[in-house]
Amino acid sequence: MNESNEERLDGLFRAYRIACEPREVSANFMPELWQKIEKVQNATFSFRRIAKSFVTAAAALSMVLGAIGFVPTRNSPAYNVTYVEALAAHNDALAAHSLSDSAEYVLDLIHPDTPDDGSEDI
Amino acid sequence: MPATIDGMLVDFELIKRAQKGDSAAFNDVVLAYRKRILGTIARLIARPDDVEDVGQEVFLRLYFSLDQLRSPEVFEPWLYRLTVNAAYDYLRKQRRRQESRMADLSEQQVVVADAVAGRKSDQEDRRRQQVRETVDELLGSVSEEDRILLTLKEVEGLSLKELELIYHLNENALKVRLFRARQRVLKSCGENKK
Repeated sequence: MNESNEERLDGLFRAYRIACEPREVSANFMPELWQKIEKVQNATFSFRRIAKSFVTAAAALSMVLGAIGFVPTRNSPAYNVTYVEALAAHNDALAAHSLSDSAEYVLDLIHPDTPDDGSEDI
Repeated sequence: MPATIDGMLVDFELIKRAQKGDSAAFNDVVLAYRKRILGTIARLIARPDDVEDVGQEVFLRLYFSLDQLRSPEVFEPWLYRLTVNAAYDYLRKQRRRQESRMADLSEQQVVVADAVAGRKSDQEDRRRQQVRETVDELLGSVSEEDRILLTLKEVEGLSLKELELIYHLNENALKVRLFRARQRVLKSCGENKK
């Protein structure tokens, strides 16, 4: 029974294959196909053009920002000395400050009642 | 290397030229295959009005993916794969539109039957029409996957080797799928009789 059903199905498919006539293709098939291809190509081209413009603009902006960041500001004292020189100057200033503090401390020990500004109470 | 293989409608040289962007060569490839591909699509989607649209979609995809074809020997399975994918996409869109294919098919059959009657076609035409209706209805009652697989194997006459290239499945897996698909068609056939 199953076998006969299988055979009938095969026969039906064979008959279907014969019954399916070759299709006639419309005259517009090829022109419409090329139109669609061109449409996709144009869309892709537009997208690429936009992407390219964006990349160019981004690169130019990066270059400008980079240039601004790297060019030293004129008349800025910070850029007139090296790091080592600046460090040495800072240390000198600290040393001078601590020296004056030490001198004041010694004076205080010798003359404890002497006011800091040197004026005496009447 | 041979310039072509049996059953191929174009030679390898033409395909290679089309791959390199030769529009005239691509045009010739389409002209050679369009009738066969449109016939396949007609059997896969069972909607005559949309066959050319789907066919154009297939050749559009072919145009933009031809450079990915590894060798011209596998051109036909490649083209069939594009055809099957386009048919699937079409059927999915149709399903999303919630159109009942069986209802459409019936409507379409009525239109065709009217046209046939109007033309006073002969007995042979009517018999062929009846066979088409029966098989379309039968294949319409199973899933899209079964319908497409059975159409490619039983109607288009593709070999298991060709189906392997299209489905990227081994022969045994394909045989199992074909067997199950046939069983479902037979079951559906039995249910229709009841």
